[in-house]
Amino acid sequence: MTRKLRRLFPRLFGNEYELTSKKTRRYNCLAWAIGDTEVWWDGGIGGAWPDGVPDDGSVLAAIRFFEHFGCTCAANADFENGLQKIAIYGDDRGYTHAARQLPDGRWTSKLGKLQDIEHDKLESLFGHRYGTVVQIMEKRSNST
Amino acid sequence: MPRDSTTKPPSLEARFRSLAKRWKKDTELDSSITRMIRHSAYQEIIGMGEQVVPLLLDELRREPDFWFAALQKITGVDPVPKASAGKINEMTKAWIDWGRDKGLLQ
Repeated sequence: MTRKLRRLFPRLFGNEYELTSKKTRRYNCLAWAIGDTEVWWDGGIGGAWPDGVPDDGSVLAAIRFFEHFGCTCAANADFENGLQKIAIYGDDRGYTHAARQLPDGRWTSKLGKLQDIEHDKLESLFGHRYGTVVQIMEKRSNST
Repeated sequence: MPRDSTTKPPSLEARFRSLAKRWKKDTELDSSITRMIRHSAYQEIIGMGEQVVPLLLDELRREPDFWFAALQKITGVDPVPKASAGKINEMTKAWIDWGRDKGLLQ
């Protein structure tokens, strides 16, 4: 699995991440970012999506999704006590991924239909699969 | 090397299995269903039409995945209750039950 992840994410170095779940298609990265492990949140056919939120797979749709769950746009991804930050990744076709900051400042990501991982850096997942971080969101960490 | 004139085209099932395998591999990191559906192998499967529905249902039963859009687009129906949206096991069950009702699955 390590070799496979390294092939998919060349910037993900072995000493900077750990697998934290089994592979599952039950929930996706947006769900994991809001603490849900039961639902695949997406605007496409087969996904759950909040009423009134754009469902076109764009970065804006992902921003509105997190706003629906109480987040606001943030200026940076720096760790701040009392705030939980979420990073939205995207490319020229829309949002690709979301990662949630942990209380120790590291990040947790559900990788598509694969596992959850914890990783030190947001940049570890940069590349042709997830693009780069395009927006940081934040919410009070006790309001999940 | 010249093509053997007796070579048969792949069977429907072989073609489906090959496309499904490629789609699964290429979309394993996707969170966006829209991206999964846009994949060329997925579109090719949709283009195979009604004859592929029993294979899709069998594949869904074997390993639940996001075949719901293909099934919906080919059959024109959606047996999944709104409350089950995003819940892969419930959506799978709804389609498997539908397939059994239609005699498409044993």
